[in-house]
Amino acid sequence: MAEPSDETLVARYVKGDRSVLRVLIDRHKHDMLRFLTRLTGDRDAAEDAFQETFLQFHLSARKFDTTRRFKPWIFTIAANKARDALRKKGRRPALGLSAPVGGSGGGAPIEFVDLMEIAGPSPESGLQERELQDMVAKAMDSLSYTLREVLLLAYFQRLSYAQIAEDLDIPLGTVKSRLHSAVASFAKAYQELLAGHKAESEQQTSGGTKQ
Amino acid sequence: MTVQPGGARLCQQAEEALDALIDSGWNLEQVTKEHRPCAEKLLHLLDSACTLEDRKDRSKLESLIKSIMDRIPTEPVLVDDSADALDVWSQSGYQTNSVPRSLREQAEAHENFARLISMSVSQGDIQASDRLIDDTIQGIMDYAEASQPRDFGFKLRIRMTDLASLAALLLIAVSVSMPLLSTMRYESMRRHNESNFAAASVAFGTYATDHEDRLPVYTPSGELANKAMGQNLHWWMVGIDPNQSNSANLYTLTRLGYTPLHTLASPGNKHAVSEPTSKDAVDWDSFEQVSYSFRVERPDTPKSLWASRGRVVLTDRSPVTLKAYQRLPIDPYENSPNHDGRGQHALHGDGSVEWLTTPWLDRRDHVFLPDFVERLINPDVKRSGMIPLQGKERPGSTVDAFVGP
Repeated sequence: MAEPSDETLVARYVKGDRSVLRVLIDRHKHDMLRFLTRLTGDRDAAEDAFQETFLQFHLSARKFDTTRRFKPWIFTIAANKARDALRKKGRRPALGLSAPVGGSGGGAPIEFVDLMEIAGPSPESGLQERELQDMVAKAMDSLSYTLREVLLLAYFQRLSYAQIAEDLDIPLGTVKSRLHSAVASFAKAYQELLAGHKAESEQQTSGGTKQ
Repeated sequence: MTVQPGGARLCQQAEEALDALIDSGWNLEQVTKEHRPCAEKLLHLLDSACTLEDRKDRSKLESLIKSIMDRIPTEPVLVDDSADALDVWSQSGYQTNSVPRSLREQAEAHENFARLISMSVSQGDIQASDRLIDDTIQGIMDYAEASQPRDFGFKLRIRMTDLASLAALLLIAVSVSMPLLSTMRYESMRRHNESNFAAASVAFGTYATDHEDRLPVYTPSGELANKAMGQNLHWWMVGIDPNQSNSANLYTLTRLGYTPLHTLASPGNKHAVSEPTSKDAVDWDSFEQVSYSFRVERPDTPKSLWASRGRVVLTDRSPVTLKAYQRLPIDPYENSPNHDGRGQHALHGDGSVEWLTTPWLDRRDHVFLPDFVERLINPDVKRSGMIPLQGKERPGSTVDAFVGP
């Protein structure tokens, strides 16, 4: 028999079936904790946010619109709780500017990023899955909280701009400019890490040849 | 904000936000919702950079912003095609095949990066431990239990053959049971309110932990206000102006998800509402809907000073402000209407709940009145009368108990 969907389980929870809570948590626990750890860059804050997320689920389950998907809903709650958890730990999420800034008169010039020019991982790159994950994690960690948040909600959760704007309570234009900035910053950081890895590999290869 | 050749200048959005800030007298709360996020960022930039006096000169201000912006490291930007592809890809529900051919390759590049990030989230080493799951579920169960109204219901199991004698018995019993039922109703209401106070106690504690040990304050974004309520604000503007209404401060607990609205609804208040009237609600709709009265703060109260016994945070509905608001004579000896006038609960800052049979705390402090009004009352003369409360009064000191509305 097919497993009941998340949305069905939420409906049962609202009707008083408390046993489904563990099932729902079990289904999403690892993804949720990884998502929160990526977002906060802090395991303790991620665990705090994890607990707060499901407590918020308990409080808001009645309001859940069962025509919507459960996973994006709960992960958006998680994103908000992650921000609260960082604040609680005294680490204010960086106040990212909503659009690129800089100065042609004395400041650094604007750097343009074209994703097409950034090579993705290929078999020739020799990257193991673990190394790749580390690299993505490092590139994510180099972003400010506000950029990481919008990047994960769009790229990982696949939420529309309108949903992100509603959930984060920011204007649609801010979502758009913040996401552009997040993608560009992530791509640039990732490109630099890839280049560093490549240089290191070449150095090791040439070092090995000399020996 | 963006940069044009020949120097930094504000983008249109930032210029509008700056104008709105100047028009508001640099009061972020007065800036329209549309401009507030950008205005907040501008304020953040300027707060440590200049005095309020410097901000009056527009050209000085722009020059200052330019010098700040010149020092901010540049963030990379996407090339136009890549940015357009991202917008279209998102609009198509992240379906690469639905993106126009001219942008499809760029959209595929976004898809690749998205897959990379998703993979790192879905396949990372991090695992949620059993302890975390057990703690999470236990936390929810504890919360649910604390919020659960106690059930004093009972079930009668009656056979059809008993009905005739039961009818006769009821006729006899009804005359003697009226006082008993009244007492049961009163006890039930009292227990229900007690449960609500227990839930509120947990909610205040959790909010304080999350917000620098402060009591809830209404601000649109849920962020802490810089100061407590201003001296001249009308705290009884329930449902009219959340920036003034003290009940909007209390409603923050529900709005930010610390406690459901039904735990702030007393069974003794027939106008109480158990569900928000809209998803954007920030306060109760009317004065009559409020069931509990919340501590009115002095603007100079240091944080966490409320968190001890003797500092009353919440009480059953104040009869004083209810009548004063309705322009009715008030009786300082009157108890809360939540309990048919028999008494009221008071939640202290240390989380304890006290049942008071008169509005006076044991140190002769009237819980519903500020100091200066209390001094006008002669405790030896029991009389009713109009006290000119205007909804702007503040406690006489940080120790003085005073709740409203």
